[in-house]
Amino acid sequence: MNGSSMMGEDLLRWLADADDLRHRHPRRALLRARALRDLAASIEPPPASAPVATAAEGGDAGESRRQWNRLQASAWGVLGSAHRSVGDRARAESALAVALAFLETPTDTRPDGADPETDLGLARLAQRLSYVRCDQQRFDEALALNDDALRLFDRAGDARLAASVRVDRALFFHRSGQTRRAIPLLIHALGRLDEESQPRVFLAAVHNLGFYLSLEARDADQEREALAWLELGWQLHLEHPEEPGLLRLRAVAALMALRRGHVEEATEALASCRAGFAELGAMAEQAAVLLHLVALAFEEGRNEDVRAFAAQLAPILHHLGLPEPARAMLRRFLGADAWVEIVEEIGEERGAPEIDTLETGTLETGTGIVETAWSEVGLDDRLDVEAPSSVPSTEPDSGAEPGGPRTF
Amino acid sequence: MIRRSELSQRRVEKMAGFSKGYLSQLLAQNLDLKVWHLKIILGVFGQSPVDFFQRLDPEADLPPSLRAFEQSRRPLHPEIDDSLEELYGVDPEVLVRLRRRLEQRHAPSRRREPELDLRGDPAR
Repeated sequence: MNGSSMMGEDLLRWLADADDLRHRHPRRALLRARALRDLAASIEPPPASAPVATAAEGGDAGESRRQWNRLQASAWGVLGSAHRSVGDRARAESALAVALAFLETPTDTRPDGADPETDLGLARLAQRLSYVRCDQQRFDEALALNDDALRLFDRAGDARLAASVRVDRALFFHRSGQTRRAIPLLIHALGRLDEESQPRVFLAAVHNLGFYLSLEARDADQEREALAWLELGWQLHLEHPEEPGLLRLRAVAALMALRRGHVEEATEALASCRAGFAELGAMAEQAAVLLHLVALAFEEGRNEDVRAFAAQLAPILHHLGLPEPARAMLRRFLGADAWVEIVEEIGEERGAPEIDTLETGTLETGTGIVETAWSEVGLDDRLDVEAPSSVPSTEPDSGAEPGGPRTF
Repeated sequence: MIRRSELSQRRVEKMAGFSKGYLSQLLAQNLDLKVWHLKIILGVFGQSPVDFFQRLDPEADLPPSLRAFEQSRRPLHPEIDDSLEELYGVDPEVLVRLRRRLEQRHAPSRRREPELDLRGDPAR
């Protein structure tokens, strides 16, 4: 085993850790993923004067080259998901496109097209991309990617990852406004998941089922059922404590308290959750909570609070690639063009899309602005938990790489 | 394909009904490769031209949703685009291949066509 092969194995492990970290601390995960991407690129590729032909022959040189390509694809894939976890969809999409360009399709590698490792690589990438498309509210594409990920995981014989894809599917249904369709999917998935070997996917399924049932509850019995699932979720969160998960659960509890009329308690809890998400760099979740806070403040006529929350929310919306509601919020609640210019400048520095001309006629009232932001952003329900499934790791919960040790 | 097979070049030549040395001349590009040559050689291996060309297409085996992603995605973010030069620019082969893939897959209307003489079967 030479130096680069050892580094390759270490890198895969570090990449798995970085991928896992984004479920706990998105901002740190991004910094680590970027450094690991650079490190992966610094490994010299094995020589291949005719890469496709050499790979097709299946010789040592071709195999080394394939593994180098897969390592690059893994590094870019983890980076893409890390960008997404801090709400940077443009960079996420681009990084994942580079990952896909590095992944060789079966015809490149094997004459018969059968290659479980390639299937797994493509499946993981499809899974990562499905979340980006979901964030962009392109749900048909997200579900198509989810279909292909499921088919490829099935073909590669990885039942655990296939089960996690089913949990993803429920989440996409919920975020596309079809929560009723998500509930039976989760109940079905829970019957197939193994709590021992997939504790975090199991946790995600339980948490989301409780959350979705709470949203759909129409009477006291249904609310009790939702609470029972949320209590089980709470126990699981305590067994596997991760700050974003606990914050999400706390926010869901706050929203349920709000429905029972405990406005002050709910507002306080939501404000605390917002601060927690901000600390972690979890932009989308922060925006979700802020939308609830600004709506609450607006309903209660607390104009100072409305302005304060809007000032926090507008730059986040812009960061998330949603300039129209950001601009509307700044104009309506803060009445300051200077703010718009500042946000535009920040956006340009970050390479974000420019703010387009706002059609103010469609946003007459404060309520309208919040509602528009809500529907365009699709963030009000970002309090469910994503199943940690695409991690290239040997940890029991995250999907082991089949095919033995990797070498270069 | 010939190299991967268990057949010698001479054997393929014989099975294809070519005269001695004809296949070598074709592979050395001393003779123009025609569609009928390809059909006969593929016939020796029991393959159809459709299967053969599909395997030359880097997109052929991408799952439909990933192919759709390639065709609908936005151009690379400038920062990501620049980083490719910085990271892989020291190895032009890697960079060129990567860029080619990114461009080919991103442009659905510019699918690569095989470069063949399609003038039909001349009298043999």
